[in-house]
Amino acid sequence: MDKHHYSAIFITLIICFLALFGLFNMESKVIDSGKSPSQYNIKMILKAKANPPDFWRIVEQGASVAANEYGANCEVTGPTSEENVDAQIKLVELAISQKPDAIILAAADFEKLVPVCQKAHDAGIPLIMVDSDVDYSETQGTVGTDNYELGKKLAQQMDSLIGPNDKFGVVGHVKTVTTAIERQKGLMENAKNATARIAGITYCNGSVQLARTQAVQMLKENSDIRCMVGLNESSALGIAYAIKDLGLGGKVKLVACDSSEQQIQFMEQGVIQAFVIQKPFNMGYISVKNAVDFLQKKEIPKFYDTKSVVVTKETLYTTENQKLLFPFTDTN
Amino acid sequence: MLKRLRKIFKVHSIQTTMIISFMLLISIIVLFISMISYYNTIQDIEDMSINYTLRLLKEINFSIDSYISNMKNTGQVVVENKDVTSLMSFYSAHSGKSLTKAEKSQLEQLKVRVATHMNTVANTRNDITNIAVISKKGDIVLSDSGKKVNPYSEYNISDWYLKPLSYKDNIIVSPSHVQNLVENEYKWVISISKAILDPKTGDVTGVMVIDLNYKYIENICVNAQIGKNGYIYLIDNDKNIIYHPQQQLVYSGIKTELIDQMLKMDSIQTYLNNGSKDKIYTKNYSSLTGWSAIGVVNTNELIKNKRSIINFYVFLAGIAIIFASLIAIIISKAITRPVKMLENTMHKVEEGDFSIQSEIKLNNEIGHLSKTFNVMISKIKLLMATAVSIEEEKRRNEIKALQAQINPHFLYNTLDTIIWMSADGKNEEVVEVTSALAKLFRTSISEGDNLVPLGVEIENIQSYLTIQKMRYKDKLSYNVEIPDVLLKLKTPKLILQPIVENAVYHGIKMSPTGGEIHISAAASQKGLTITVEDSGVGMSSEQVAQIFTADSHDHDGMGIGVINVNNRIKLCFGKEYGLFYRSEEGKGTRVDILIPIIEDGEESNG
Repeated sequence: MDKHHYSAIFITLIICFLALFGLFNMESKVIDSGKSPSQYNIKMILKAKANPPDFWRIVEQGASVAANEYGANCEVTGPTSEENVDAQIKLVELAISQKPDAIILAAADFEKLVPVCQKAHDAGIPLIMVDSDVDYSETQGTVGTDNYELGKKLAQQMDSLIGPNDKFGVVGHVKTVTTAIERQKGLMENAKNATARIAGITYCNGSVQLARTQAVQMLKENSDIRCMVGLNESSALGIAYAIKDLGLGGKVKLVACDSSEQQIQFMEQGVIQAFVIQKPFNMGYISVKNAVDFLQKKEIPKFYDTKSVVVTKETLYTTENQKLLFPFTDTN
Repeated sequence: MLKRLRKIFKVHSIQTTMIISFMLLISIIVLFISMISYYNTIQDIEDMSINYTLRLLKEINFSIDSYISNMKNTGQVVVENKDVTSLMSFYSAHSGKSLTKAEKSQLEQLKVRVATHMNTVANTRNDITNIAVISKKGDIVLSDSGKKVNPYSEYNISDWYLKPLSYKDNIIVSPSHVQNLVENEYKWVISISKAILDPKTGDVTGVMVIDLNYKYIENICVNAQIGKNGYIYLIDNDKNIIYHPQQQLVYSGIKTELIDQMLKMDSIQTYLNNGSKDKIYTKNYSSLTGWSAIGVVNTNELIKNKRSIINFYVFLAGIAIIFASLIAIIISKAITRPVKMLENTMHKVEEGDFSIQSEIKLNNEIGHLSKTFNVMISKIKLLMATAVSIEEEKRRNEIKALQAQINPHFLYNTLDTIIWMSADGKNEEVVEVTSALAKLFRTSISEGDNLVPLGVEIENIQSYLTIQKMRYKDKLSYNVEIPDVLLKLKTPKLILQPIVENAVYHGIKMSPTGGEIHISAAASQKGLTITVEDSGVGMSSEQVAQIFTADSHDHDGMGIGVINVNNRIKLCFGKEYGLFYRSEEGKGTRVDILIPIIEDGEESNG
């Protein structure tokens, strides 16, 4: 046998092996297409990690469910209270220094967090905003409620409760936060004659106590107010206490944002007539999912609307709303 | 590239063709088998996973069933309690009426006893959050006397309250829901409710409800992990989700879950999402609770195993192919080796070696071929031997014919000489010539050995020369000088006579002064050389060149004898032997007869 024959045999051997690897590669591709992603390290910085409000705890729950499902490692941090912007900035800086694969941020301030976001961007860390946006366009996307739409729903509920010329008052959480800005805008632009009817607007900086005193003051000063609007959970709760304090339950209507057990009690008592609730669980879940998708080079929407739902006393115990209103907690 | 490849595969060897074919064939089979085994293994893994899930679901249903049936019994205990029924009967009997003081204290006592009883029952298990009895008119007694009834609770529109009223003998198990019966408590519970009947009339007097912490059921499901991404959910017959790890996502439409399909599905059937093997759904239905436990396994989950299985099979198939190739080489070598051997044998035969025999002793086609080949070779050998002997015979006959040719002219001339001498009365000379002639003829006619000793040949030629000397007298003289040792060497008979005759007729006779013939012999390495020299007219070099060409002698037949001698020697001994002429015009001719040295007694096939 000469060299020529050996090369023929050798080539046949190679062909056999190519066929072998070809066939199994095909199968491997099928497998790889469904493979779970590698363990991504994601840092989530919320406005507050305190308890209450339940809102952020549920965001965290959603995030941890998604992290589990998509095989990511999600660490959640946040300042003790929502108005502590500086503490949040520090937390973001700390997160950047740890070089995670992605940062998910619920901005406590529309403007003050811009520099630190810029820093994250410069460090090449993808940034996904959850709930509240910042005045910075280089983020990878925002997951949250369409707050303008939420404001519009507040306006619709209010208009269905009081007459078209009745006055109303508003208590918001933080003036410079997008959620407050957008909700207020949605409310003012969709309520009939809003500018003429509005009796006053104050900001409680996330403090229930401050909201309560502000609302009491507002109601005392404007006895013609027929409806109060709370732009977030804490401000709404403050208003509810104020209405109860003044014995105006049912007389002055209350349209609130988000819910807590106390608010539900207020609704059962007839102090609160309607909630427009967000879906914090979905926010947490989708933000982590989008972060993972982005890291896997999939297209993610610039804005993901987690939607809001109107709950009234009649719909309080529907199967769907129960899960939104009564999140499972470790205590019950 | 393709051309080169085609060139490479144009192999002209059975062995290589066989190796390649075997390799391809075995590889195809190996690939085919390993693919089948692979898919079978995957199928097995899936089946195993389905079986595992099913077993898990059965366990879950079993725990839930035993839990619920336990609770149903507990409920039964509460419902059948005498205090409870009498309290309820009391409420329905006194509804709308104002109570007397005695009745009031009786009611209070009853309420305390009922609460104590319920509290005792509730304390048997810490997952009972609350037990309550509710009269048809809305009087509520809670198991925990420290808690208050939520005044805003709209229990009377909820299923757990309404259903027992319509199905008074059944114990109702509610789906998971938030219970707001107790003030400041919004707990996720599963409610077990039963109508309370008046023991005498059998009328419905109220409803008893036991709230079970949902956590308990949830924990059963959470703890039953199916792989890393697999999960379990519970649905009831009314399509309510009792438990789902991502219930919020399902309600808000981010995730969809199969509910209708699952309710329709058989208990042991499995459902593959969208026909693709994305997720495997396995269901187990509990008739006690009416709940279906559904296990979902992500097929991707099984993939980690798939990876290692693939690697295993690739490894195995690779080794199999390599082994197959080695075996292919060994087998084809074993098959083609006899063929090669036969080929080599044939090559040797082609080169002329007929003595060789193929030594392959196999009892197969090759063996038969080898046998046939051997038979063929021996037949060829036989044929060739026959051909050789025929050829030899032919040659012998030819030689006979050649040596028989003695110039008839010589006989006439000699007879003329004898006549002339007899007429002259020279009787002595007549006797001498006649006896020489007789001797000459005896030798030439004699049969038998073709080879004669050189001495006999010399004697013969001396007889011849004696006769010629009589004819030519002084014109011819001769002398013969042969060493005695050479006289015994053998020589073909009658080789000298034609040459001497030629020398006499063409050399001496033509010369006006006559001449001398000198015969000598010498042995050398080349053989025995007998030399005939004459001092006659000689020949030109053209004439020398034409001696052995037949047409130059046509005219008088002279020289035919010389050609015959030359041919005979060459026929007998080979081409290197024969006659060698040297001549010069006017000076004479010298002929060397070269023959091999044949000792006395040595036999030659010539």
